[in-house]
Amino acid sequence: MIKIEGLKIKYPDGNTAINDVTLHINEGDTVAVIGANGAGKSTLLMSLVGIVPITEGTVMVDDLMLEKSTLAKIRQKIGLVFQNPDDQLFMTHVYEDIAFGPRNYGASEAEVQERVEKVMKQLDIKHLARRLPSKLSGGEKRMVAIAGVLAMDPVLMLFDEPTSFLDPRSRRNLLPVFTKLPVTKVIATHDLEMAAAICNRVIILQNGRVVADGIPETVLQNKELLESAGL
Amino acid sequence: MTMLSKATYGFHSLEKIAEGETIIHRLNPLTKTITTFLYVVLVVSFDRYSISGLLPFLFYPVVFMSLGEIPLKPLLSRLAIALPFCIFAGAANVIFDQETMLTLLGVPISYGLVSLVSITLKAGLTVIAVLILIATTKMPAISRQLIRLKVPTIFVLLISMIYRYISVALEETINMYMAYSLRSPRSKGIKIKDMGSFVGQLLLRSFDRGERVYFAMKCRGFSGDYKYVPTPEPPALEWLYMISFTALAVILRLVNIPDLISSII
Repeated sequence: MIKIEGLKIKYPDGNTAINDVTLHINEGDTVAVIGANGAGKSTLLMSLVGIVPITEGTVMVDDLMLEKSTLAKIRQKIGLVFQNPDDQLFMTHVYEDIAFGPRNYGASEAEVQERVEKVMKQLDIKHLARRLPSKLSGGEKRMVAIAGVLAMDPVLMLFDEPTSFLDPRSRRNLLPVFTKLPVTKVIATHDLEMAAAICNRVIILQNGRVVADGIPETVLQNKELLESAGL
Repeated sequence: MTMLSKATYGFHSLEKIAEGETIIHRLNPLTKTITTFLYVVLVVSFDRYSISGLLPFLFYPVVFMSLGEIPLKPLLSRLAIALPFCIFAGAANVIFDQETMLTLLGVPISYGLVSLVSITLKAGLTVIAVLILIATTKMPAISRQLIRLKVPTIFVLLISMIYRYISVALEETINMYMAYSLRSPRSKGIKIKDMGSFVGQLLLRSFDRGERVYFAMKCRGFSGDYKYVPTPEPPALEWLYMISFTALAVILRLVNIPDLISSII
């Protein structure tokens, strides 16, 4: 599904955020990308949708090479849920926000309505349709942000720190939602408990490099590895 | 800071009023947008010394507020924010245009003073008209009508974005101010020497947020167009209403009713 080969990302200030990362993500996977602050987790996710430019290496999404000409198609296939939902909920009402993506990709109004209603039902947020994003709780905002991406019918969803800004109950409510999402998922997180609960693969990033890649039972049990990666 | 906190909580109170079900709320958004636009243009078109000619235009807020069951307080509190700017602009006329226009009960009234009253009245009427539109029509519906009326997309997007993010910006300001006060307990407000870095930080945060919002929009296919659900055309009865409203407003603009009445008396 996604083939990342020799990926390197260097910021204009000379800082190398991602260094020679090679990864293959398969259909149906739920992958946790964990690492200390500044390890490159968010940069890796943002590079997959072309927000952060790639310095070296290639990214292939379903045989589409990530480049300027394929960006729109790739962004339709890959949805990114931002760390702070306020960055993502930019329309004045919840319904309008969820409908934003499908409308931009040319869906007819009947199709837009069908998709919006489907995802709202799926995430159990139908009651929020007419609400203002600024009046939602942290957990509700997170759900609406996920709905906005899910309505685009992506094949892969990227989540940047999905449990940040959430109280314990909202966090607990979010976990079953992840398991029910019918797409491949890559989750950048500090939340090791969540990674163990819902992911079938864990990747540890340290200083922009992959230092571990395996099943949660193996990777998350290695205390020495976690300690050295700043976790 | 209580004022800012109140502003944050009260910011969307008009939005709540807009959920009403009165006859004014039920009017097609296009009807309300066109009539408001026409009203604003006609009020602004009066010359700077007109006062009596503007008075009949009070009919619009009075009728719409009573039919739309819109409480006066939220409108007045918002008007109170806008009016000082207009009064400040008009005050210059009082200073620079001191020639006597008329004498009232032995008191000379200058052209400058008359123009100040006229500017304030025009500002009051136009701001109230726009607030009535917001209090009876939801923001997405207004945005759609603006696009339909060929207002450039960039302006409509800017209005929508400001409407969406002003409460976020206020919250950010409150948080920063709280953090400031906790480490500067004896100062009332922000010291002048700290004001530069406070406002600068706020600006940098706004830039960062603006960039992230733009990325989020691009990730969901945004290419500069404002895509919206088409709204139905106003029914025939509303077109009739629009024509009658236009005719009445134009008559009130062309004929100075108070002057006419006083000349008859």
